[in-house]
Amino acid sequence: MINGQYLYSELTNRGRRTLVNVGLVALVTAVLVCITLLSDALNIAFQAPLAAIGADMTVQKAGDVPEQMAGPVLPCSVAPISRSQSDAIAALPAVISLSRAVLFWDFSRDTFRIVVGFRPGDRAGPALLQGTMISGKMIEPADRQQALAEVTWASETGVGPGDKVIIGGRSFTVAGLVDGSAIGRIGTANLFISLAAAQDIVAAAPGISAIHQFGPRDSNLLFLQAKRDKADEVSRRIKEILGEKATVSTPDSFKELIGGLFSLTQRFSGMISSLVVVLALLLIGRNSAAAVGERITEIGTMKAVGWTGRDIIGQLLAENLLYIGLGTLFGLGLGALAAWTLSFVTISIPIPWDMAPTPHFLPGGDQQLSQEIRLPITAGRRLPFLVTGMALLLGLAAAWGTGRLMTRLHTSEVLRHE
Amino acid sequence: MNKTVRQPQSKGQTIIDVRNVSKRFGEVTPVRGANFRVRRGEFVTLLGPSGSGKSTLLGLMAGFERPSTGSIALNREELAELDEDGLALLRRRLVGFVFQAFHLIPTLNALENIAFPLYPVPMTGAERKRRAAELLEQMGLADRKKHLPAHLSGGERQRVAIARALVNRPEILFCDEPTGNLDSATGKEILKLLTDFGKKQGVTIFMVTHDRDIARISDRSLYMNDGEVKEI
Repeated sequence: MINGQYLYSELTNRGRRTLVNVGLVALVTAVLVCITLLSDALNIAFQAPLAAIGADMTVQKAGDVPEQMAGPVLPCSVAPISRSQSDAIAALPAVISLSRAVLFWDFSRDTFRIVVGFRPGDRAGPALLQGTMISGKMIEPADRQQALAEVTWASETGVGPGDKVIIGGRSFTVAGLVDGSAIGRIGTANLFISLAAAQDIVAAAPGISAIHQFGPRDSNLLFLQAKRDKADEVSRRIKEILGEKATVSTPDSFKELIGGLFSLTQRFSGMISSLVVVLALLLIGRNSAAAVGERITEIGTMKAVGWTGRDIIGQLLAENLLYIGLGTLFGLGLGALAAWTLSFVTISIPIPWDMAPTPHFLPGGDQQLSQEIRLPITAGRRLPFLVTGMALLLGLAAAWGTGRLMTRLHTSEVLRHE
Repeated sequence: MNKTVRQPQSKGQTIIDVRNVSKRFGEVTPVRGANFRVRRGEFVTLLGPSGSGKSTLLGLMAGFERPSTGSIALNREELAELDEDGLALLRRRLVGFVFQAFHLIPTLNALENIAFPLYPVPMTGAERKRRAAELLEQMGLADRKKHLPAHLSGGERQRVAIARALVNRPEILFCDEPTGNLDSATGKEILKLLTDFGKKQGVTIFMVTHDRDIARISDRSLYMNDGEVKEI
């Protein structure tokens, strides 16, 4: 039978011990909460560049550098992916959808444009521009004479809906303006045309045919929606299909580039959390044992006046569980405060160079492209389980520490004269 | 409310029965063949020099330790037949303890310390408090009930300890040098309190002491030397 009065007196009259125990549990809980929330947030953040274009991964293939930058050329150094290869990738069991695109640079009439051909209506890639229309209308899949202009580029060059633009020597009418920034930094361009039109231009471009065989149904950029837990397997199978020159970008590709504390937190969150919990277990176990040790005479007195072993263990355990409960509550509060603070932090997710559409030799092209993301801190489903699990583990450690010393105590300790 | 109903016991019956008890710790044998009986309501002192085995014998009689040989019965209950929890429950029912070093719980005030043995007993908090307050009053400490042990004098602490020993209405009071940490005047006062309460409540008192003056006022004295107990 646990006595509340005794519990309360121990808690209030042994202030230092209460403070140390509650503080320790609070600190461990807060650290665990912070690491978990930060790790989850970074996981979401790393998916953001791809999530913005509705994909789980992008696929490209490395190729030779163009001989000269004239007319339409494939970006350095992206090679064609044949229709049969992209069909084979689409047929992989874990692939949910595949969207083909053709990305090329157009050096014509002393101008440079980044152009992407895509199929309107696809589930990923520039097809998502449909939702970012600022003015005008969307192009049709078979449209070979209309283009969409990215609004920032359009305002810089003075192009608007209804204007004519020349791409690869062919004339296109600007059907509408779209906000390219809404689909992030991958797959964005100055001008967007239909996949069919882009394939026509690229297949006929002498600068491209000089180094690549680009078929009329080929592409050079694939946006895949795939089962996330099968990402590694899909990546491996794609490399089997495209060869070792295949570049498969997944959220992990962004992790590789991020550095500093965030990277450490993300990479070692599991290990750090485990270490924190193990350390807490040891400290709580040790504290519980020390508390029993300090109270040998008191426990002897309890036995002498008729408390059974179960009464004593129950009382001591209740004390420890109260420390753990209070500590967990304070820790959750501290963790919530830290998480709230972290939610104001903006991190910069670097975009791998092979996914950057701007030529490195143009002004600003050599700069590291990145996407700014405010840390998406949300309490995921695993956090309550983690905190509860840790509290239970700490409770077990306390029970272990208490029980271990209790078995060694003899009531006769009380007969030793001080 | 669960109230212990005690069967009427006639005075003079054996309440403590120690039969050929020895205790060995490795090469050392602090208790050798102790053999004596204590009758209900008796006040018995156990005298002897330091290290003669008095406290060890007391520990054996209270069930803190198990004898190496021999047997002990309290109120006809064989201690050897009880497990640790059984011994604790027997003490709760039958025994009160007064220690030389008081052993009050430092975080509990005087009133709570007196009620301490009743904490694991199923009864209301009000009943616990009433019984403790009654004893506190009888000990002349009513104005000290909120004081922690650290704020009480030695005599006051021992009075709280005596009240604690009596709160479960024991039949046997084991006292281990209860005046050992007190000055002479306070010691006498405490002793009077103990014997008065003992007599009033018909409690059997078994007291370990160095003090021959205490032995003189007891009903009977035992003397212990080199582990052996003799009647004097």
